[in-house]
Amino acid sequence: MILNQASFRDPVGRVYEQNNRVFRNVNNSHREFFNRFLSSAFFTQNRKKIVDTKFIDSIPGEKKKPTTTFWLEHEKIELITYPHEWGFETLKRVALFHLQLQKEAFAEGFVLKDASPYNVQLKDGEPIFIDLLSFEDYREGSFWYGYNQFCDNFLNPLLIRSFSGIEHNQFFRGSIDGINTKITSKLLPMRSWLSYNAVAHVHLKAWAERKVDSTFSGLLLPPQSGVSSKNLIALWESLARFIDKLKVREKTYWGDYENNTSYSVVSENAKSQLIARFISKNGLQTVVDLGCNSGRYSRISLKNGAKRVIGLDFDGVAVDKANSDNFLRKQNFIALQFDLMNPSPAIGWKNRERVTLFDRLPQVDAVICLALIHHICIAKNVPIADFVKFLFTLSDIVLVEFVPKTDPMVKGLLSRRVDVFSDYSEETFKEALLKFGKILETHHIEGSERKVYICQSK
Amino acid sequence: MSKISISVSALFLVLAGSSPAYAYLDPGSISLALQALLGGIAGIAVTYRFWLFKLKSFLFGSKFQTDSKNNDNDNDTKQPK
Repeated sequence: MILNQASFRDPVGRVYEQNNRVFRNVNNSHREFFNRFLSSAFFTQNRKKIVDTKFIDSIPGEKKKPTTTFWLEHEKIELITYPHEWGFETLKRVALFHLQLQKEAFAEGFVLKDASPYNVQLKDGEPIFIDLLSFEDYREGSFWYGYNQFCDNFLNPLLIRSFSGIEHNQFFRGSIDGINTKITSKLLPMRSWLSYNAVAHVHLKAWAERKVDSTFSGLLLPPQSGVSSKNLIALWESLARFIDKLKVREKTYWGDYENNTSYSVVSENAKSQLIARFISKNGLQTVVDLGCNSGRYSRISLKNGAKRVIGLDFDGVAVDKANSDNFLRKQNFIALQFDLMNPSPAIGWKNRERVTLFDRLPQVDAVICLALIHHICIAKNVPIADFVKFLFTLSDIVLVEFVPKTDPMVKGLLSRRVDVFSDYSEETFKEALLKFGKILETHHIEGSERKVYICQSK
Repeated sequence: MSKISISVSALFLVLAGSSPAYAYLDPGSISLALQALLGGIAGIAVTYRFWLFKLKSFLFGSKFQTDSKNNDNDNDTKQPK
């Protein structure tokens, strides 16, 4: 049984995994609450929004039943993702989901005691709440204790992106607790002072926090009575209305890559047909689309038999576009903002609280890697053999496109630098493929000098 | 309103550097005081919008009925059981 290293923050219970099943060991003090919660109308009517959970007497292999604790079993979420891998739109969606769920829980007398973005995951394209220990009974007149956390993890990151064009992702990689209000206040432009919500939840809050920090005289009581239930609802609704209107203003080259691409229609169609055949012929169910861009080949994979696609791309706008695609959003698909040259690190307590994406990826049937190799091996200097070796660490079956130096895109990459890439050739590429696997098929892409290799690891 | 007054007073006392009897305020606590204030403002805004729609509906007739109806629902958002 493996202890989930992220579950220590709430001492009431810990999460364990065993044989692809997820268990939570909870202190008996919460037994009565969970009896009520799991049979409440809120829980039973929100089965798609809250991770499926049931009481179990004991876990497999347990010799003695616990006396001071009890067990819950949760449905396993296949891929756990983190906010630094989400695009703006996903973070916004999760923020609105959190506020809506909070409101619905409130109607049944429950509140969320925190507002961690790690408590929400995406399943079949929809947000799902996974940390049931976050729910507790509402006491009239108490505060929204997750307010600070909500600001740091949702509101502030969304604001700095929307107002200042600064992506939240790098912040979250460096700070597991989000972006605090004082930093946010400094990063927001002058025009944010025209927004009531930015002033109230960021600038005024930051000013008050600085005041307290600097005087430390402090020293005053928090108000003796909290916030009335009517005002809490009004606060959540006003935040939701504000967040719903936030937008990313800038455009990126990659965000509109499908329209900017230099490939001919003939080449695109040839590649699409190749992917469709590759997926359907081999019955591939779970696919990683490396450099997925706005999801063109993920879409083709899903339309040709793949049951699940995980798209990875370093461009936030492209990732948002893929996740907003009308077809993809109804599928078991997620596009994550992920830079292969600087992948998701392990962060938090002992570097084990939140682990790398490679440690979280489920077993996949195939990796597709189209039009990416030159960006890694030429733009970023990764040796071609090392890149090929890496692909085989993700999956036994690899479909990879080789882009030669004669290709206009590679010529463009090399036009402003000295060509020091003597090993970047189809020969060395093939040698690497044969070193780590075997080549099953090779296809020339019509209308280009590119080739697609379908390979299997040794 | 009284809660807003308490929050405003609380904020004022903190920011003025006053030292009331029981003491200790960390940034988390200031957010609670602020939250009470902002919650109060949001509550007033809801009531304001509700009566504004009522007024518009009264003055301009059925054109605003739908909005007014929606706002009624907003105002009646379910309270905890």
